[in-house]
Amino acid sequence: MESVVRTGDTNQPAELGTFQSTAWDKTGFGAVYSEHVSAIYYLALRMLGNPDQAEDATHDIFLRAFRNYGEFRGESAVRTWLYRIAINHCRNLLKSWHSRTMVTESDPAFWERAATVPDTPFRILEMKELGQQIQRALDMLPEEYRLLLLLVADEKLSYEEVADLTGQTTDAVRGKLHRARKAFAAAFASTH
Amino acid sequence: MEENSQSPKTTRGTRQEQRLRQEETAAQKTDAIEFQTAEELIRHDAKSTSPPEGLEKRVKESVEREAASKRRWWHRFLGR
Repeated sequence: MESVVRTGDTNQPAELGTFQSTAWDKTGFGAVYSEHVSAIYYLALRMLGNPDQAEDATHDIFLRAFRNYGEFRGESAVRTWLYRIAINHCRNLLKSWHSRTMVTESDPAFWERAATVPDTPFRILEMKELGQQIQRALDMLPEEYRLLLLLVADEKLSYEEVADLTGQTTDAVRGKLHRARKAFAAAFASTH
Repeated sequence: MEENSQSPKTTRGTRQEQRLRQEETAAQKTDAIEFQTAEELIRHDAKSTSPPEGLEKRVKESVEREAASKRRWWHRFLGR
């Protein structure tokens, strides 16, 4: 990949990071990236289930955000705006893949069992493979539940913002969250 | 004689094993982390997951290229 850019004014090569007046710094987009990249990468990682694809997706999400950054009017928080781009991007990727096998709502026996799972805390002894275990559990959930849990887990998002991002009311979010928790607990238990 | 000399060893060995087992159990109890909800568990996972190191450089390069091509377009448009 090209590591050198030419500035438009001088046409002189400038190594990245050595100039103060790059678009990255001048527009403030670098600060936006630094503040939100962890959240966006994590959402992409757990939605797509693959670190390489999540990296590519995060790159594309931020590039798309930069292209539209001038039109961002601040009507929503930057984080919500980025999440919206990320959700659309990941959904499009998932639609085009068709390669993953997941348990969905079409497996009624699984979800019937999930509804009866008692609300007990998750007691984790082994942290080493926790990420993979969470991924396997999330992969088993319907996309709606997976996305809901990932968004609610972000403390910087309000229920109203989660509702806005998922296109439903806050009451619906609360109701579905209860079912999503049960489903996750059942799926997580089955990954042991 | 032999019985007398072996007996304390055996007792000491058993105690050591017991102590080790107790320590292991205590360590497990200490290491275990409890999460009340799925979101808490996911939040913990998110905090311990970092974006890949090279990602920032990659995004920065693409952003700079994008900005440079926009500038070039404006310069052509304005005839400079």
